[in-house]
Amino acid sequence: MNKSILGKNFVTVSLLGVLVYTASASAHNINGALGKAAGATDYYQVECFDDGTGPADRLLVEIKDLAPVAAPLISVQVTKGAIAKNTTDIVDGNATYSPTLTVNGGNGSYYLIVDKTAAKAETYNLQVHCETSDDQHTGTSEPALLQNQ
Amino acid sequence: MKHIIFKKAFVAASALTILGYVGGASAHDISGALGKSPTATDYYQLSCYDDGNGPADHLSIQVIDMAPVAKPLISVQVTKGILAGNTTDAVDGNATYSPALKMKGGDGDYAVTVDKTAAGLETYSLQYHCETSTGDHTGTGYAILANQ
Repeated sequence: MNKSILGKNFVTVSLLGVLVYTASASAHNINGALGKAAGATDYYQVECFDDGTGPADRLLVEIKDLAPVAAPLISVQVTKGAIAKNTTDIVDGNATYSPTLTVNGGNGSYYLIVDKTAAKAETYNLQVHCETSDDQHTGTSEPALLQNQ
Repeated sequence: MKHIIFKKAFVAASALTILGYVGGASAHDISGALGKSPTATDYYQLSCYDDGNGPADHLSIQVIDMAPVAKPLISVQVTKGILAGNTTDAVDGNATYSPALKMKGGDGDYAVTVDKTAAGLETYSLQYHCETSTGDHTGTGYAILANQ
């Protein structure tokens, strides 16, 4: 009986863990739009911090070019200190994100630029997560929008 | 006679001014290369300051995608404070730069990234100048933070 209760509790706790993680992952998906101008640029700040899981080792970022299917390619560039990297979704209109970008900058502020290669309005989905050195999801702030074009 | 000397001095001074500006302009062309990886990104810190011509009003920047003629498009992104902008050279292999990006961030440091949209080696030239509100060239410096 005790074993059964323990088993049920374990399942409940595990489910809660999954739900919390899922909610957290969902919170780090940002839908954005870039205006018609070729130079339209969105700008975000994301914080990685120790939420009790452990200090962040890195920020993971990927981006997906959403409707309309159009000529501009959408990219995201990430900087932190002297580190800079970028990733591009090279196929518009499919379900695949850009290659995942791993920026090993530890805890602190990361700056994300979302841009496109040509004129025409575009929409995108941006996914970000901070992880520890042993691949655990850790403290990740909601991306703060610094500029919306 | 005095008039001729004055004219010669004026021409010499003008020539020196032009040479000085060209020297300055030349110093503000950076030739760079991006490695094979699609994530390769070069990272610069450009500084605008008053060199005696007046405080900077904006940074003007453009990029040209050089040989090889290849699939990746090259872009440059600029940020300062909460400002961000970008410009892309949409045609590889011609003599035309991307549209000039003008960021009105005044004096101070501008963070500049140069990236490309796909895998494959690329080279580029980056042209940048700090200018006053009246369009005069003013103090412009740079440092490279990451070379990929």
